[in-house]
Amino acid sequence: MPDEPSDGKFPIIDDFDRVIHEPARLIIMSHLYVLDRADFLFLKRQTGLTWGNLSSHITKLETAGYVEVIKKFIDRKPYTLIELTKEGREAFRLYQRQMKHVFEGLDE
Amino acid sequence: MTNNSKLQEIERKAFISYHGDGILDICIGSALLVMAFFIWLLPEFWFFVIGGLIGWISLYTGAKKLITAPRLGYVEFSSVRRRRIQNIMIAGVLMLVVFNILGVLAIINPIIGIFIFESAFTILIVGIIGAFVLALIGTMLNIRRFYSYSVVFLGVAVVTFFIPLILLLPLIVVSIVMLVYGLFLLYQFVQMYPKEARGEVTGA
Repeated sequence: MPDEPSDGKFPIIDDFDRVIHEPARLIIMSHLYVLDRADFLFLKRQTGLTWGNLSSHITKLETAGYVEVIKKFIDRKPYTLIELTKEGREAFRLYQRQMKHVFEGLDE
Repeated sequence: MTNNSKLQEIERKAFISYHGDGILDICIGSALLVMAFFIWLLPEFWFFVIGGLIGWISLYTGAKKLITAPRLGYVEFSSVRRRRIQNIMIAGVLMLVVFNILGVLAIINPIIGIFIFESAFTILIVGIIGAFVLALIGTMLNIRRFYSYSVVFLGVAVVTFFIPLILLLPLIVVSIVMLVYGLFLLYQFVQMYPKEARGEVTGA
């Protein structure tokens, strides 16, 4: 996870977390940030990604330690649930602050 | 995408799509309709029926598991959202208890019964309380169509106050509106989200 730039310093490209910066992964992370956990199907419906895309991005996020994939039986049916890890939540918050810092003061 | 209002919007959109199946409307609508007919046809037993309506909650959760989860997917919302739903359920149970007490009082003492249920303003009081409850559900769940149900309920209550029709008219009208609109939403939901194959659902 990249370090947060010091106050007043404009973040350089290396400061950004490239794992989160990719649009598809950013939208997945955003959903998991506001939901406790969701399965593949729910994330697919909400993000509009294909199964293949979603699966590969989840794998990348899992490799980075940002999400956890949990196999669980709910009402005797198997579900593969995805949730943000503590590191993932912190990385997302940092990314949020960095992006806010970049766009602060700019007109729409 | 990165500011908090956008994140809240994502959560709201996810929550609304989860309740876009109309099952909540169908369950509440059918419960109110059954209640209205019992009050109409078997008034002496109506408070027992209200107690029995709690069974509708299990109908709702069963329908969500059977229809929503295989089509839209499984989701657990944040603790804040879950607390809101719990508060609504607690408020609902408290209201049922109050109605039950009023029903018992009306049966034990006919004078109290006349005062509670046969006053000229009863329909207006019922209209305001019913509209408030429906608007409260809409606010707590962020489901705006409940505001429309609230307006319908209050509107029919006011009409019934000026043009004496049957006392149960607001309840019957709003329950039919909810039921019909819920069925329409369910049809749209099923068309929009076809059932996924089991392997795909689990992401396996």
